[in-house]
Amino acid sequence: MPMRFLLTLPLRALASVWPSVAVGAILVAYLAFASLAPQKTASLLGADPAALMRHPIALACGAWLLAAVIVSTIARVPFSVRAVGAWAAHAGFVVLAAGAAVNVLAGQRGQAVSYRTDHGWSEIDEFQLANSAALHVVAVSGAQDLAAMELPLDINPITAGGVQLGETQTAGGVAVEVVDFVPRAQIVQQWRDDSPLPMPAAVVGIDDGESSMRNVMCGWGKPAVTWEFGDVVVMFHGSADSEMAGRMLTRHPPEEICRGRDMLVLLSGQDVPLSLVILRADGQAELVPMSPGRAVTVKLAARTLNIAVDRLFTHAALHTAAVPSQDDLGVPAINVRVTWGDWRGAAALPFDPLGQFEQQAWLCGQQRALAMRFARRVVKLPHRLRIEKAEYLPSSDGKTAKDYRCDVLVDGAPAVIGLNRPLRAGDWQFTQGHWLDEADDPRMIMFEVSSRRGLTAIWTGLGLIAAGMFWAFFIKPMLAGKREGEQ
Amino acid sequence: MNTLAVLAQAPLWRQELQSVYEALGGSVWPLVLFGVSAAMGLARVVSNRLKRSTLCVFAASILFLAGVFVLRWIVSGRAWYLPPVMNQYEAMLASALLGCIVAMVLELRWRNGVALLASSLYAVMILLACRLVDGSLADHPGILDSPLMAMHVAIIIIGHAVAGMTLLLSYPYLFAVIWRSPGWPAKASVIAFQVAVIPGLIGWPALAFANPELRDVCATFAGATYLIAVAGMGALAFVTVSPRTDSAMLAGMDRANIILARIGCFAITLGTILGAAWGDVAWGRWWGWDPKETWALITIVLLLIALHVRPIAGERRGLITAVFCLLAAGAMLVNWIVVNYLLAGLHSYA
Repeated sequence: MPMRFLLTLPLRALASVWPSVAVGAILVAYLAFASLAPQKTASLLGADPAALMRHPIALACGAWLLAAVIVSTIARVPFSVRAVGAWAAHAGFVVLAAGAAVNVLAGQRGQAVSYRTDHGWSEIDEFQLANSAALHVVAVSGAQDLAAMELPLDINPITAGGVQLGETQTAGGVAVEVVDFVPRAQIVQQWRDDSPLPMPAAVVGIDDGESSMRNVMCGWGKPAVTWEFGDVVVMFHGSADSEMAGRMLTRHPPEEICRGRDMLVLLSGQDVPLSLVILRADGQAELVPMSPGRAVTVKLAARTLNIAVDRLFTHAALHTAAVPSQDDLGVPAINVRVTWGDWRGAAALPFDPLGQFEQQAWLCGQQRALAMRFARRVVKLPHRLRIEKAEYLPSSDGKTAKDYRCDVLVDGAPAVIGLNRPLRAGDWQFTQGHWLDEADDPRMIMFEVSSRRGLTAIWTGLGLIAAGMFWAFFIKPMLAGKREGEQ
Repeated sequence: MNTLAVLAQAPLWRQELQSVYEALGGSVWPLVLFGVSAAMGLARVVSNRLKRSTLCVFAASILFLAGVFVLRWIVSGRAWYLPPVMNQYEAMLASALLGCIVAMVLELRWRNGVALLASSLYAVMILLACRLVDGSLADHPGILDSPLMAMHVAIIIIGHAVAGMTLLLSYPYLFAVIWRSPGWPAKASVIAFQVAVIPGLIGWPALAFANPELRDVCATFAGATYLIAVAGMGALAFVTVSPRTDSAMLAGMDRANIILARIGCFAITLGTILGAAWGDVAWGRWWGWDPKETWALITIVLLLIALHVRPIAGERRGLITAVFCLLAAGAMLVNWIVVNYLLAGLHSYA
């Protein structure tokens, strides 16, 4: 008898109302704390703030309540016309939970980005998976044999310990080991002249009387790098030859670079001393000799600038390390160790959740430079989508957006994506996300992408809940009242 | 003030209608009408008289408020499927109107005056708070331009209005039960709690006028404080003045409470489901644990607990129902105040 009692105790507890009320109260308290103070709740539980709703406490409470719904319905509510509502609503919760579970386990969600180029909008055939982390490694400069590659680390959220520390992953001859994960990191940077590859760079300072800025200009394998200081374009060319200096003075740079603006070109090379070429918007050009550490005053049409090259590097290397941040401004980051043949290097990579701003770390190996980014996993889409036209419609007062409309081609077929008008293609849905920079002249458009495998079950469950509640709360009492009246 | 920008492009007839709307909506008449309705409702519940005249005043108040609501709908120039439920002011106005319509249906069925009294008091409190909230006719963002969204908000508002009415019933019910229990500590505790509310009655409006940036938040807090204060005053009157503070009266309040809890639970659940459907269309996801969604779920769970515990609670079922209804109404107030103004999320007004 005691054994039988013990065996049936869990079922009895599930069929009783009071234990479930207690569990429901715990769930309510948990949800309230997690919603109002997610950071405090997370630090109290040692959990990831972004994953609080998947915490064992919430999952255990949910599982108990679901089991209680099943057991108590079977044990305590005999099926009849009067009990149809209770059965439907309770079945609805089970179907809803099953659909949500399928959606979480089999569905995918993320963002797909298209950039505007001179040739139109870039094609979308992949997206960045939400709640994932991957180390992306791209070889550049003389890397024809090494295609862009990706080293996936883990699909779990990084702050939940998803990054596999100490494990070396190899691709294309590059071995990368994640040595450290810092949840709130500050990236410490130092430039040194110790790269095995020739890598020209310059520390450039500009002062216009109102503001001053300093920037390290390094092309990372490209011949030139540009920097926009207000309406002035500054270009650094670290491997210039004497011919180039002469060419600069006689031939104006392409319009897509200067776009009618004044341009300051810093030239340096093996047989070219550091010099500044001033290319004015009106087509006038002037060459000014420079020396490191000495500022040159440049009078332009709109303003006067002081420009100085504080330091020149011939073999520039950026040494970075992620250290724990002392304030709340820290970002998740990893420290990686790279082995590339005989060459070894290290770098810190901050997590780039959008993966759109090319927040990359650069390392120069013996033969080529290496770019790495710690971002989300990139997943191929079964469809190809291209934006044909992007249109922003403001409200009558111009303060709010009435619509962000994109005319797109999906696998060659025309379609529209707008506010409240998602595009559905097979299992996949595309909805409007973000437009950058200017809404009426965007450079980048991001779509929310999702495949919702359990959605039919979810809607069925929600429909059953609503119908069951309506029956149990309103129809059943009405029928009971009518029956009492008849008696 | 975006009203001017909205009206600048409106046809002449709508601009003329605007002046009518401002004269009616900006006047104290809705407040006065519902105030009279509440006073007559209290007299009707206490004395069991004035049945027909109270119902007439209540109906007139609803018609007046409905007129203001429809005028705002027309003047705003929005699509026919987009009722004025797009900001805090409109949501509050709609909650008073829809709550009173639900109460009118219940009153016509029960004819005991309880739902009428609760909804009239609720409307007075909401209309008082509305006078402090920014009520300009701003253009709404395009993402809200959806019939699904309009249905979602309207049904949720009904749920919240009904939850507010359960607060006005549950509080006096608990008050009366505690008051009737033996010993002075119980009586002292309910009076002390009620006195503690008094600073808020002056403090929130004062802060609203002193700091215009916090006006909407303070106005909503003030509304919640007035709600508790009025419920408390009603309760005090109920337990001290009324000769009908008997078990039958408490049973009537309990019955009204449970039916309102059912309506509230169903409306908030259905509204949340419609919100999920709209979220899937608008944001590409049906559920995202946004604070508003989480607090709607909390309200539903609390009301479901009240409804599930009731059949097994025996003689204390009224008390337990009232406690959980109060907690659910508290969750509803958190959703309206804390989530709308103080937390960041898709539903944030901050």
